[in-house]
Amino acid sequence: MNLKFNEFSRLNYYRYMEMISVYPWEKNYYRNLYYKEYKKLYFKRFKNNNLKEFTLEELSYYDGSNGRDSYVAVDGIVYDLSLEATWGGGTHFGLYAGKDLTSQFKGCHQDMRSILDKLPKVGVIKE
Amino acid sequence: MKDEKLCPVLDSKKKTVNKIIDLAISESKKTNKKINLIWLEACGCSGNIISLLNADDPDIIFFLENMVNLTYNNSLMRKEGERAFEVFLKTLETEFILVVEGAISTKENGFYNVIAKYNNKYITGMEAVKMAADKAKYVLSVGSCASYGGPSAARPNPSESISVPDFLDREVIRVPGCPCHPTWIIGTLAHIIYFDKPKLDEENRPVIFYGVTIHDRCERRSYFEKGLFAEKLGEKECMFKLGCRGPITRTVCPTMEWNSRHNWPIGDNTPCIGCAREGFPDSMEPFVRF
Ligand code: HEM
Ligand code: SF4
Repeated sequence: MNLKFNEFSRLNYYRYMEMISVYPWEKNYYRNLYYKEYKKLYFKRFKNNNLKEFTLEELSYYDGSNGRDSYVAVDGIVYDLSLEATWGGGTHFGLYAGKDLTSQFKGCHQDMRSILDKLPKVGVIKE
Repeated sequence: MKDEKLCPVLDSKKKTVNKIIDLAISESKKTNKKINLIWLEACGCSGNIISLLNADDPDIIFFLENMVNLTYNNSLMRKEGERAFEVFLKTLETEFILVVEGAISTKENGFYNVIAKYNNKYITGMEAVKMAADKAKYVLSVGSCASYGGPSAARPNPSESISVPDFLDREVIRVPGCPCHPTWIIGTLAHIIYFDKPKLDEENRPVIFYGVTIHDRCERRSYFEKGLFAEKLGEKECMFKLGCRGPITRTVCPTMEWNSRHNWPIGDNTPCIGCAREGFPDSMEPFVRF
């Protein structure tokens, strides 16, 4: 993982504050901040490297059923929607995860990059 | 006592509710003029009027005695047949509020939903809503069918139903829910009667009842944040992986709860199915994902 200096130091700082806090709610507050930061960095790992290659068949496994992850491909890039609140159970306004939904995405969200940029990327579609 | 000095917000929180209650009580005593109300049941299941009967604080008796003059509603009124419809026609001459529940069936000129027979002529729901809406002071669409089409307009929509706001070209206050919570109906009507139109959002829903998502105030939210998810119904964690629609549905269910503040779907281990949202039920499927 290549992390910037200040991201590491933020983690350390939260841990440290949790340790020296006296009150339980204060401890809890820093613990939450720590986990949030940790989650962010965890997904960054996927974002920067380790981009896996998927065939459409492999992608169809990640449809969000039975607690599986839900992945969706848009423009050849596979996004992880497992923790995206609007995609409960891998479904979203009648759409199911585990597919290439490029045309549906463009049909409903025009071409809003801002939505996609926020999502963790997990891989690319193999031609 | 110590709290007050430390934090003024804490103190005001305890008083805000009382202030609102006192205001409501004093306003309800001030006006003794009751406005007429027509409650039309169009193409739906009449679930909202039944839900209204379950109101408390204020209950339905207070509502009917002190707040409105319910002249026409086919479930609650005493008159029948043509005599009932005459009351409807007479109310049109006065100042009144119109509440519509159920969608507007448009197939064959609305003939799939006949609500009365008058002078040997069938009166369709479509016709009655049109007649009343032209003269009403306010129009409320109560329930998801009236507000968005809902189950009546679900695929394949054999009656070609559409929502009330789509059917009328005038302002319609949407009070969705399947059924609608009695407090949301009475609350919206009370605001109209004692003050004026409540503050509405971009979909014309009262912000006070539809301002935040269910996910925002859900009791299982901490599980969601920690990534702890229920794998089957009946577990106590967040039901996100089972297809919960709480994050896209705006109502105050988590704080107000149902059946006299007794419980609510997520409190009873059922994921939210988005019943108060546009697109229910087709776009909210599947209701449970395994
Ligand atoms: C049938 C087509 C679609 C429809 C009708 C639709 C509709 C919507 C709506 C109404 C919202 C806002 C939800 C709310 O906050 O109440 C939303 C959010 C979102 N949609 Fe879709 N969507 C569609 C397809 C897709 C696809 C294919 C993707 C996959 C990449 C996607 C990803 C998202 C994401 C990530 C959000 C959250 C955006 C945010 O946080 O601001 N949608 N969608
Ligand atoms: S149960 Fe539904 S509304 Fe509650 S936290 Fe989970 S996803 Fe959100």
